[in-house]
Amino acid sequence: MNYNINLNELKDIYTISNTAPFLITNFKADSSVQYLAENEPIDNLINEFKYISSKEITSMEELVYAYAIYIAILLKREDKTDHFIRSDGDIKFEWFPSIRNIYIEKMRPTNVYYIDAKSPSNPIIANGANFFYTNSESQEITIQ
Amino acid sequence: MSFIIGDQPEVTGITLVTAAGNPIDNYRIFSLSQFERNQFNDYNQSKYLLTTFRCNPSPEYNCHGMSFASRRTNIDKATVIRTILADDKYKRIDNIKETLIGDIVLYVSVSDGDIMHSGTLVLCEHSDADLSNIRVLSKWGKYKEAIHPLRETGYKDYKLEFYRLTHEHYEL
Repeated sequence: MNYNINLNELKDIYTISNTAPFLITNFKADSSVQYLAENEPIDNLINEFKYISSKEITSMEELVYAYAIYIAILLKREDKTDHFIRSDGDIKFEWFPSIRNIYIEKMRPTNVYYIDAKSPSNPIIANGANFFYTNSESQEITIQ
Repeated sequence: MSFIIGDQPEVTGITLVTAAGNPIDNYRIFSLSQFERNQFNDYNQSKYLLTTFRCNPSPEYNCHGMSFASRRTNIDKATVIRTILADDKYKRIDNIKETLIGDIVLYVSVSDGDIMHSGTLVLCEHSDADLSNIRVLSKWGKYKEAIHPLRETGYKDYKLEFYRLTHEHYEL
């Protein structure tokens, strides 16, 4: 673990979480997660997450650390965040899919459309937009 | 990319419907990974001075699964819980002084409406003073069941809602 986070506090939050919104709300509010989101370049955070997720996680500390890095990346709300959740961040484990959905539905920047690649004629409008994203692996469409 | 976290537990739901026949979205995790089992021992439950913890940690049900599904599964979506309340004809109790043992309490996030926690009242002592002595039996995430004072929990920034099954729709 390359970054210092408030591991004990975050472990307690994880332990008693009944819902994904509770987990993400309280991780977002944690000062160490906010510090990472505000001060650490997103590429570094993504690389750290890829490193964590490339090996077997064997302790709650490692899992909580993974959540902290993941949520710090989402808090960046950059273009690279969108690419991340469609690639390395598309994790099928525990709260990760729900956190990813919360980002798509509520945290995304206000200038993003979300288009389901399976039904591109029926875009999901996140908010007022000046460019499109697709959830396919290859396309991002910019609309002026 | 693969994401390997120990032995990933099998996740399934059970068939569950409201009184009106609407399906209740739920999931059940059948195993606690060994690392979770070990790490839960570190949870600092001693800071909850008036709380009694009971049972071992379990992933099979969460607080809402305990309140609304007989400890059989996990329910985590606020929309699902609202559907249960409506379909099962729960009546909201607006005045905390009118709560009774057996009522359900919801801890609702003030920021986003998430129902972060729920439990069943197991002690209701009301007096003329401002404070009522209310205790709740609930489940804290994957952790243990707890008997705790109404506001002595790890949850915060919530408003409380109380509900009761009154069966008022059955005329005597």
